[in-house]
Amino acid sequence: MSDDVRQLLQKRRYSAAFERLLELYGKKVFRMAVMMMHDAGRAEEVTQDIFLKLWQVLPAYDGRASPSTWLYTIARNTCLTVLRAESYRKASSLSHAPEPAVADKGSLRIELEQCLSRLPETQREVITLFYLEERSIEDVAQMLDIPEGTVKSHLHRARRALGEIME
Amino acid sequence: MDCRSVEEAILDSLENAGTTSVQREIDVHLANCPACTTFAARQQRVDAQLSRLLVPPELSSGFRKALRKRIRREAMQLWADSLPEKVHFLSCGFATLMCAVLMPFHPAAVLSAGTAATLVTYLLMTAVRNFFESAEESGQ
Repeated sequence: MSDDVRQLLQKRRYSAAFERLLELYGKKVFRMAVMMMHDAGRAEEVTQDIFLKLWQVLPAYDGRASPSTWLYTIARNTCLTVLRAESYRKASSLSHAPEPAVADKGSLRIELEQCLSRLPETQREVITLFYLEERSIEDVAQMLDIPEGTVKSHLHRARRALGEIME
Repeated sequence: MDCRSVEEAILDSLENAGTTSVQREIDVHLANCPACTTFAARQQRVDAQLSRLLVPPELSSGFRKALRKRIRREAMQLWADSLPEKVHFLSCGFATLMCAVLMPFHPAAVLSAGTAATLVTYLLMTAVRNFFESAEESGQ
């Protein structure tokens, strides 16, 4: 899938490469942002930031990593930067208003989020992305830049732990 | 198959459809092992709940339009930022050409005019750049 993007980049057809990347990975990057931001509205804004950044740095692509790995790295770093900035803003703000996104969620979903929050970070990321990515281990491995076998072992551990927690 | 292998096979089967022979072995084991039967039922419940509640979200219909708008704005900004350099480069090229053409006829006048123009352009560029930088800083 990434090969045609790589060829476009080698031919310096940046606009075409950008459109192809947006078409292939727009949804996946958005789902990754949802997993990290826990808020679909905010995640959509961050997805725009990610693709804007991609558009800016596309001519600097050096071909060492695959375009998808490169894009997911930009996505992860952008989400982390936004999260860090937001946690700093929250910490430095005097008012602690409740987050509006929580109000529309069903109680089951909130319970599930509480269970998920008790998992170690990597297990939580793996199991959330696995379901958001429609059960594709390959996609999760690419997004988190870890081998498929590691994704599977994190999934197994997360399922075992959730089985205990949710009982 | 022992209990540990059956548990792993059950977890595997939730990620991809296992082979029928493995499934048969699991079924045979589950028929005689209440602990693994409980484990399988619990894992199926967890999987069902996760599938129901972790629904893949979709981007809004206005996403692409908004992104294109931001990219256009960014492109305009980049173009505007590089404009002084482009104008400077073109002016220098034009001035050099004029000097080359006029030098054989009025060398002293060309040298004085060239030096004065370079000095004035440099001072003007510095003043404009400082103005924009201080405007940007006060804007932040």
